[in-house]
Amino acid sequence: MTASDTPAESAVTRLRLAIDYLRGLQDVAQPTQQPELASAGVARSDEVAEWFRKRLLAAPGTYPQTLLFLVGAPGNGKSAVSAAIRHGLESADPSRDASLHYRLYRFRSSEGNSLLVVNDATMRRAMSPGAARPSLRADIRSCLEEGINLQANVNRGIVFDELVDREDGTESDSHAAHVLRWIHNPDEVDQNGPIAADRERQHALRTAVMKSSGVQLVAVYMDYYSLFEEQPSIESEDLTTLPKYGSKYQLQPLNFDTRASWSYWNKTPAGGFVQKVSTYIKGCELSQEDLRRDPLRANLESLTSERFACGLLASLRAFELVTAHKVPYRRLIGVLGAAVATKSRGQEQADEHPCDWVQRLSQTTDDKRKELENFIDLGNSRSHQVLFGILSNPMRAGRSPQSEVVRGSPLTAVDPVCDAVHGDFKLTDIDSGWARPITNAFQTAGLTDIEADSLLSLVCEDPLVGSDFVTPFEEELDRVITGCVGGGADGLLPAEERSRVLAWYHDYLCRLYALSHGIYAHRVWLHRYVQTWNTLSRAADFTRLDNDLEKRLSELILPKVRTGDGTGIGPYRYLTVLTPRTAAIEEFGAKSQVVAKMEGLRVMGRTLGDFIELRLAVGDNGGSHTEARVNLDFSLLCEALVCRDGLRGVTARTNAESPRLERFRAAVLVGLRRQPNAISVVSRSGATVQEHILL
Amino acid sequence: VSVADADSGNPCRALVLFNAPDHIHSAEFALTQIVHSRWKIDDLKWDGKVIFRPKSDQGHDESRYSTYPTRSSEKRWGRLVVEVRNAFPSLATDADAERVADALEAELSGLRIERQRSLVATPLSPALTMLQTPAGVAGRDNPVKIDHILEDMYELGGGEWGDVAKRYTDALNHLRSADKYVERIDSVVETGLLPAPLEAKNPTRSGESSGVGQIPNSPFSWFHAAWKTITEEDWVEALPARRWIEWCGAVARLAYGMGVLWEAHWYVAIADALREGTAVTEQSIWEGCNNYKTLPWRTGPDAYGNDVWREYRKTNIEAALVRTFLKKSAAKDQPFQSVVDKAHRSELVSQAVDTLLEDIDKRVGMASQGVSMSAEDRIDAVESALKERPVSEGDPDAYYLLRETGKTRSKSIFVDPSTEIAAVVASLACEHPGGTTTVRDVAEDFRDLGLRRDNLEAELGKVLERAGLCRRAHDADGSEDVSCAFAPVRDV
Repeated sequence: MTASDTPAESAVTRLRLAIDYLRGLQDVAQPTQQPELASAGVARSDEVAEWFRKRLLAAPGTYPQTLLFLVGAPGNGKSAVSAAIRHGLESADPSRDASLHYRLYRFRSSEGNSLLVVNDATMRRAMSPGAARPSLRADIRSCLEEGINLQANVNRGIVFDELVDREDGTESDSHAAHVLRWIHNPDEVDQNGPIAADRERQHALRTAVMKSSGVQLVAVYMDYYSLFEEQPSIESEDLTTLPKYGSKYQLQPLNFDTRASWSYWNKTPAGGFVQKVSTYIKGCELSQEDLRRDPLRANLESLTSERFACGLLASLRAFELVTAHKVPYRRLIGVLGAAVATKSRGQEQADEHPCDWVQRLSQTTDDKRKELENFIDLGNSRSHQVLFGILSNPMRAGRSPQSEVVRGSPLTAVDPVCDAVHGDFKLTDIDSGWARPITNAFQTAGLTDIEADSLLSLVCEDPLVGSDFVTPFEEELDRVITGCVGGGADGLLPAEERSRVLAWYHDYLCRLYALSHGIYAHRVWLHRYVQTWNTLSRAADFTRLDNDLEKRLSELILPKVRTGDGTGIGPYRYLTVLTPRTAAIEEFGAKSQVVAKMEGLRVMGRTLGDFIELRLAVGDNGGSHTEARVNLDFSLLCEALVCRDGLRGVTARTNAESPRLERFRAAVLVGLRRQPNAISVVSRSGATVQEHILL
Repeated sequence: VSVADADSGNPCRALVLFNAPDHIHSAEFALTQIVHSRWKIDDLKWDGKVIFRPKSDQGHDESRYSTYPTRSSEKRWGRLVVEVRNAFPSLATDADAERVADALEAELSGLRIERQRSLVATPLSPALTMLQTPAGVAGRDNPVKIDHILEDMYELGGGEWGDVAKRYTDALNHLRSADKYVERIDSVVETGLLPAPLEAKNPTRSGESSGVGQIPNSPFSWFHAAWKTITEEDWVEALPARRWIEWCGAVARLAYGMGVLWEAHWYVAIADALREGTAVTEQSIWEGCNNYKTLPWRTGPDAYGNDVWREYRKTNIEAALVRTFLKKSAAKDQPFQSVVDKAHRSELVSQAVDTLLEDIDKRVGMASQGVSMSAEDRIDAVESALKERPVSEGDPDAYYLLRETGKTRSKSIFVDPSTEIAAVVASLACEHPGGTTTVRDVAEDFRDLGLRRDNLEAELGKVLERAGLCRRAHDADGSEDVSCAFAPVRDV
């Protein structure tokens, strides 16, 4: 469906159609229903698909037999890419019911090349009683035996399952098993085996050749790179050679200026997708006059705003980095659907269409309290509220003076309200504050007991803010809220309730302002993470971190002990010996302690996909070492960045980080068991530290 | 009503798996009992309540003898200081040795669990374990014989009765040779704090084997495999001494709690068979128990909705009633099959069990009245083993499967495995330190233990990821690699 197909219906009908369009996008897995969205360019799989398709359309025998595997979780766009490959090919099973999903499809190109498509390798139920259970390995085997090209959509679980199945002793089954092993881990291929694999470590596109037959294998790992980053380009389109990346995957710095426009985002798969959706909504020509009391219509309006949509994409990318989990297409679609059409309340009537729900709540009433309560519910259905977590309605809330998230969402992890730094937003400065205009407006209003006509106008009057991020819905919401809490309300709300409403409204405006400006929580730390990643990605393997980060990580993992007078840092690191948790001692106390002593700690890093892996090593030159590998994810980075001058800071993530760090310290302790002079007893008296070696 | 011949009086062994499960004081308590089944001290005091140290905030209890001296008990303190200097010749003065003695008191103490009257010594070696007796630790004359119950469980899992203690004490001996510091403090304790040398003894079994045979895919089979693994020498060497002891304690706690819960389902399953008059075999009963899975792991937003306390409370109350009924009415040494066959032919038995259990829901609702001591003991056994133990100070309990929230009427106990208990189960699923396994295999172990949940792999994957042992992938369906938490130390 495209915007131009939208029938010239009433504004209400068009709204409903647009909402239903977004709610129904999940069906994109059936690509025929949304062909305009089928350009899933993740890891350049679309270009690889085109390369594969062109080979199929050439005369038989022109190119070697090719097996193409799209590997990844459901919702990554495999089906869309697969559909593009087989588009226009002649089905070898024309009598099949087209409305049903099958595991296998057979096609033939006009030139006579055969193609077997394993549409869903997870479908492993036998087709009839007594029949053999289908398996990807059997499919690969039959393709190898019959010389047929193969395109298979695979998830890792299936590969693993079939790897442990016993081989039947035939050569083709053994080769098929080797292909599965290669898909499972293309970096660890037996050089003496039947497969010659490429050495493109840390790439989403991997290739190999079967030594005996020359059959070519291509695998695209659909979730290796983020949808929110520019994908590396394919080097050449020469059909005789295997596809290969001509550039490196990089993380774009999180600067506001680069990430605030479509010109950046439409180079990324997610950005291209969201822009298409945004363009479609624009084409619906929703009338402005009906926006005032309808949050869903305001949501659609926001999504057509470049700044808002880019802010949404930036927040989703931030979510990926904070949680170390990728957002696949299916989740992105779910987020868009939720951002536009979520009922913040009234789940008891699950089948009530969101438009009807809005219609019911937006009726005018003489009961001002009820009207405010309903309007806050409607406000909670605005995209920014749904995305960062729906807040409790202060008209029904408990005793807490703050708004609480009552229904979280993935983006709650980057809710800008939890990181509302005072200051003025600067497009070119990641470190700038941003919340001043809103905080000031509420402080002013609080001081004068809200004599001002409108809180929103106080915010928008600020020259740094402007009013282009608000919709008519916000103006109506502001009118209702100011009418109930302002000077003219004449004690309509008790003081406590009034302050709760103001707190909710403050958070509401903060989130809207932030999302429209690409602001999310933890941006300074995330920026540092991306910088570190990009520095490390330049080296082929483990390399040094920058001095500051290395120092802070060392202070976090194995800090040096402070001197007796507490004014400086000593030369050694100490661990407790018999405590349940192996702790690094930061300062000696008056009580005697048995401790294990060590010197150097070296921290190196390398990139793996979007992640950073650290190699930690302890030991003196030439001596015994303890080595461990730990993922430097966002949580660990935060913990490290709050360390300063040998002192550890504490963040909300401290508890999450402690198990793996503590385990590394425990491993170091085991290594010290072999070292002479490592165990001593230490006590401190005033500024004097006494240490006696025990072993 | 009797389910056996009229001359009954003693329990049919096949119907009683474990002897009176009760509160487990601490993981260290279980390990202390295991060591005491193979070693003894020839001293009258060691027949009673011997403790490591009283808790400073508890009043002095004359009936308990404290093995770790204070500086005020000059003679004993002096003997300790001499032995410290002997063990560590690098110490130049008595004052230095006193510092070590001071430090040892704190470092040898186990977890400081709330409301417990004494500090427990970490059982790092046989001599260190002898710094306390089970009666001293438990604060009662006849504490529950956890060592026997664990041996019974190990046997049900496919092991040999007595091997729990044998393997553990052998491993302790290996720890002493692998860790010089442990070896030295062991000698300090043996010569400086104990009144006599340790003497070996053979564990004695009270009663016959249940004769039930091996039960695969159960908490017992997991315990058998895990205990064999953790007591291997490579595992002793791969972990810090204290951590290895903690892991042993965690394995014992987990097996004990889940095993007792499994046994409760065993009685309930027998009762159901008697009530319904269905023909059953011993195997069909335990297969039913295995398939049922005793503990549902729910993670809904409402803590009350995730509660498992009401479920296992009811199961244990029912189990205690059935067990008492069977003990009274079944004949000694009568085979299981004979008992159930006779019972299921008897309408009277069916009615009797019906009557016994008719007001079970009412009983569950009562706080304590209407619930037998043995039922409360069973519930206490499960909770004390599996639930997070609050500590009064120092390091927290890191090895729990259940957590509690709310108070009294709004109390909810729910499944929430700690990262460390997940790390223990996952690591022991690897064959050797430094090995790998998969989320699916770890989930299988948790299922054997009795955890019930659809798509257990996904939820467990989250815990293992928090523990830093795996990285989840959406499409892996549990095939993600899980690393062992500890690897052998190697020279680089």
